[in-house]
Amino acid sequence: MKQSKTNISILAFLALGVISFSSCKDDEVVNPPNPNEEELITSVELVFTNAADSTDVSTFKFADPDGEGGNAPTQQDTIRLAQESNYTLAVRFLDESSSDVEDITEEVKEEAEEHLVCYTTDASTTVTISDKDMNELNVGLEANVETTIAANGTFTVALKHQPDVKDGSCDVGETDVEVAFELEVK
Amino acid sequence: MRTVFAVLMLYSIGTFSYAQVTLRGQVLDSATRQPLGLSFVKIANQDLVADTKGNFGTTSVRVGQHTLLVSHVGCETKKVRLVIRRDTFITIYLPHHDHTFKEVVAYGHQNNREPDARLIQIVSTKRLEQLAAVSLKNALQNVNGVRFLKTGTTIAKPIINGMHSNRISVINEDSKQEGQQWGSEHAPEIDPLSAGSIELIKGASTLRYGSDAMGGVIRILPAIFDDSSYTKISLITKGETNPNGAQLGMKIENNRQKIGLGQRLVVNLKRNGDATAASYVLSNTGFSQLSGSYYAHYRHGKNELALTATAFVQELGILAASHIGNLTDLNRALASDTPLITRPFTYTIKQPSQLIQHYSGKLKWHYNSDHLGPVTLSYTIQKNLRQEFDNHNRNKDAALNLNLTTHQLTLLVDKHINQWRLQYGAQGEQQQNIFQGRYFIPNYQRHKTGIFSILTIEKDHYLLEGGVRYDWQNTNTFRFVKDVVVNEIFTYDGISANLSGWRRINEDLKLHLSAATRFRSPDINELFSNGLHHGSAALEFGDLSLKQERSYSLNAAFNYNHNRLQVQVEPYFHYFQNYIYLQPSGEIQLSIRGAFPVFRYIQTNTRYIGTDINIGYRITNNLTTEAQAALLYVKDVVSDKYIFGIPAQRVSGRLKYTFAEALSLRDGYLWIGPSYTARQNRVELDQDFVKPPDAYFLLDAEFGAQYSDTPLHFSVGVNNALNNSYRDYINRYRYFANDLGINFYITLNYTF
Repeated sequence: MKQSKTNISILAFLALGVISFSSCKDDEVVNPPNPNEEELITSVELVFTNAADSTDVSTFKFADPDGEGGNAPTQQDTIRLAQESNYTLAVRFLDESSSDVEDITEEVKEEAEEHLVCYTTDASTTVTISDKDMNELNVGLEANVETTIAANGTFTVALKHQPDVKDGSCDVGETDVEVAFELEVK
Repeated sequence: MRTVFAVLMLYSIGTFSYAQVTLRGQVLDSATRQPLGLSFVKIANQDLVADTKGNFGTTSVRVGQHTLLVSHVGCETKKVRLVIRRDTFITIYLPHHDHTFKEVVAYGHQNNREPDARLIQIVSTKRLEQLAAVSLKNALQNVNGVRFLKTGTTIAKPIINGMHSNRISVINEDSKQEGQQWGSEHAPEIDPLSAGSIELIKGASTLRYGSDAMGGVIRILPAIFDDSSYTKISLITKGETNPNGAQLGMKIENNRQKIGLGQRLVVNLKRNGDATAASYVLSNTGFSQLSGSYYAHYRHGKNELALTATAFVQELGILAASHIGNLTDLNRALASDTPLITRPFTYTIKQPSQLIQHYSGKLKWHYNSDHLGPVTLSYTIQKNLRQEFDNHNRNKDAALNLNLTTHQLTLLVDKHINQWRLQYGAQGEQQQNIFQGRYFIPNYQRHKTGIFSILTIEKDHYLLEGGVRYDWQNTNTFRFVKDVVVNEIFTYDGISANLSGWRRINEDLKLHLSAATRFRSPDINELFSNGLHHGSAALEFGDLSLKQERSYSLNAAFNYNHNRLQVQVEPYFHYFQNYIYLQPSGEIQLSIRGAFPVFRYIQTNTRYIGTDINIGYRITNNLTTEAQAALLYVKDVVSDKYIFGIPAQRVSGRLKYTFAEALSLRDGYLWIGPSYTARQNRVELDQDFVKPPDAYFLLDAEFGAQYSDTPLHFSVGVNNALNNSYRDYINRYRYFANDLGINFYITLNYTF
């Protein structure tokens, strides 16, 4: 019986050893997905075209190539517009996290009934959204911007994701992008 | 001897002493003071039987020292030592109403249980069936000393001694339940109907189940088959109004004693729609759950084999209003009195949602060795799949896919020699995690081993236990850093030890004391979190240089039982070195999504001081009253600051009326239970988005009974009977919406 005692112990620890120290690793474990292949919005580009002069085009950009967290944004332009002018505004959302830059604006357009671009300004400018989705609600990828007197302030662009809850208001849904640009109207 | 209700009162009727004297007496129920007719009293060589009034007597007792053994059906046998010098009349109180106060009992060495020094409470099979429990939160409701960290209505993690998540272990017999316990929104995947009983082990009083359960252990045990051949089918149903839904559970049990084979199949199905707060719908909080198990137990000679297979599938909605993008959204949600999204009630679950699956298989071999004592060897495989769907991936793949596989091997030897008990054993584990989609934690493979030994000695009036344990673990992680897969290796090891015991001071008073030191290795999320925590508007950063944390714990318990009064006080003290927690840093980080507050995992030293108190008093034969309190103070002793997310103080009470028979009902009860949860004032205001919610008062009530002689048991009840609007500090949804309003429920159990 002494023998059986020893046997049990040995067997058990052998088995423990097999489980615990087996060092072969599954292929799936050693090959995690590359997070940079995930879809991400890293940059916002605002293209202002002077309604009176279609060659007067200015582009302003905010870029945070590694997304939220990690490093601070790399580019934060100040929007400079002329006073007493009318502009058409086109907004673009880009994924610049890898060298293969992707334009996310198209996706937003395809799912226009779930998205809304909201603008908030506090100085001398009025923004009027000019594009509509299939439910006749604003989308905001295109807008008209009118400036009055010279002033400084902020110009905030927010992309709202509003599946099932879109009603034209900016108060519902989840914020995918929110960038506050410095604004100078001269 | 669990309780010590009995007290001995000795009335002497004195004349002079003779060689032979008369002994007369009466046996009474210690709680109700009603006579216990037909009690048996054994003195010297005489067997006496009490009459229907509990009176007994003999005229021929020798002068001198005697031991009386008093017993009654349904009572434990009571030993009474007395010196008889003259004709004597005694009144003996027997602890007849063993279950006066509740089905869960208090600690230590139970009637036929094995001696140990654990501070323990048990929820029985019957209780679990009557509750029609679908989660640990249901199963452990009204158990003093356990609270729940909630994310909405369905996700709840147990809190014991103020601790939760990886400082609490859920143990299936002897192997740890492994799931994705990496945040407050990951609840343990347990089907309580599959359990025979659930043990709540408070504090650090046991080393058998691992080193890291500093706060306590919840242990799930399978039910033992009765000692006969039978087939039994039990149906358990529950319907409720809030959240509106229904549950159907079925247990089929078959035991063939001749061949020593018992089998049990449990299926538990639950479906409910959106919950409602006092004045609005909590949109997208519905859930559906299918859980069950198969258990087979085969006995042959000295060998026992047990096979367990479990499955748990749950789909649950995430409160629509809680899914927010950034700090601006959060501030808007906080500023609003009502959730920003409320839709009409529905059973449909939309995105954001989670699909959680947990499967396990276990093979256990138990051998009664003549030399070693009982030896148990078990192998367990567990698979946990979690898919999180968010608004961005509608009708597409999950945004996050986690796939966790665990293999465990456990060896336990349990040797009893007279009053000594020696337990020793080893555990081995291999675990691997694979993710797809959004980065949350890296892929990893982890190996763990642990060995332990516990020595117990039990005497009549005390028990002493000492244990020591060694654990080692090694983790290989794989993640992308700048487009290259990096393999990082983390190895931790350490010793845990404890010394505990209890002592019976007298018939009424029992004391328990336990001192322990344990350690916990940093978890994968504490090391590797890096970025936005989904839906919580916070940037969380782990720290690869975290060391293991160590706890020094003291747990005590005072149990006092005297006739109609029962008092239990369970104070605890835990001191942590290198305590790991997620601290709000006060920084705000700017990103394309707007601004986010930054949280970092840091290490500090902390102190937990708390106590659980339970006082019961039987007012009359049919009426009992109970009061409970849970008090807790936690502080970071390095910065002298309060720790975020600690449960607020709470007191609760219960008035219960029971009756044996009325109308066509048997064993009926009616209780009403108020509870008051204070506002958590021990917070650092700069560490939270919003002030802690106000104190609140809840009123629950339930009526239940068995219908005449049938095996039909029913209960009807109400939660939050006053339909109060409230928010709880330890519910993460408190930022977005009120907690549940009034709920009516009915449960039916029928056994064929």
